Amino acid sequence: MAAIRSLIDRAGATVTWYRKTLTGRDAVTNWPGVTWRAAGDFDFRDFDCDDFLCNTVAYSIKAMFRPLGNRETDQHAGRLTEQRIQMETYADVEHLDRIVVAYTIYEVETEPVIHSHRGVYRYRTCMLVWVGEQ
Amino acid sequence: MAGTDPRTTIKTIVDNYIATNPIKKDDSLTNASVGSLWEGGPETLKHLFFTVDYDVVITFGEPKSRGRRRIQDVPVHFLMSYPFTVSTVDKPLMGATVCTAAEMQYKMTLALRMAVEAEAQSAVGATPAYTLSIMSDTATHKRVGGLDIWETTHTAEYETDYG
Repeated sequence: MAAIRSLIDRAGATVTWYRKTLTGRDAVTNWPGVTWRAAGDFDFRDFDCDDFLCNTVAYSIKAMFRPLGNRETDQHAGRLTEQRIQMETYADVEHLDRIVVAYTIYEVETEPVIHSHRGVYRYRTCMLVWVGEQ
Repeated sequence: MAGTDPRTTIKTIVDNYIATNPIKKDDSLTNASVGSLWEGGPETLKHLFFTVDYDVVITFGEPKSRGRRRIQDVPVHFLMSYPFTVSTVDKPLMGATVCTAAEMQYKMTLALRMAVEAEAQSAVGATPAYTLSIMSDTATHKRVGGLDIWETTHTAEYETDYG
């Protein structure tokens, strides 16, 4: 366990991880809302715990990345680029979480695969898809 | 002219019927948890079945429509096909099954037929006026992602004049 974490700590990049939160369901579609908030979002009229980092939902984590390639598709509204990268990290990222790498936002597109060795959780592998610029 | 999206109308009919006539699990006593959503939401299938813990998931999909006018000077009206799919998996993941996916499908099919029959046409003077019926059901079964998934797509035809 120590070796893999040590490798990710030494060779990985430091990125910002935004955990997703599922909010209340829409009255028509019944879909939950999905939000990603950074710690310290100072809401002037809603002075709450979030403003004091006591409910942090953004974290700095270490991760290793491997680019997988691009694909161009033409949608009705215009051309869309899909860029995917593979990420390895020992943070417990989940589907729909967002990772910001050098001001570029990626979303966890797949349910992460958990790697364990001798019954101990080691790290997770997942695909990230490029969303946009921060 | 204000109008309700027919997909919402159909969803409301189904939701109201199931609320008053709950679907039962295998023991015929315990109410099953039925999730009803528009297709394409942010939650994965496994999240819906094993985290939110629905026993049955109904998703309302995108429609197909065609206009119809038989003879001149008769107003056009529209035939709109709305597919909605009932998805089930065996629950729970480990231990004795309390919701058998295949059996839940027929309970839902029966319930949906009765729900739509009870609300087969709009109230007198409603705008838009509509007639609703289930035209077909297509059932499939596949093994994907480690799960046996049973899906039945029901197609409801919503005929309306929008006049």
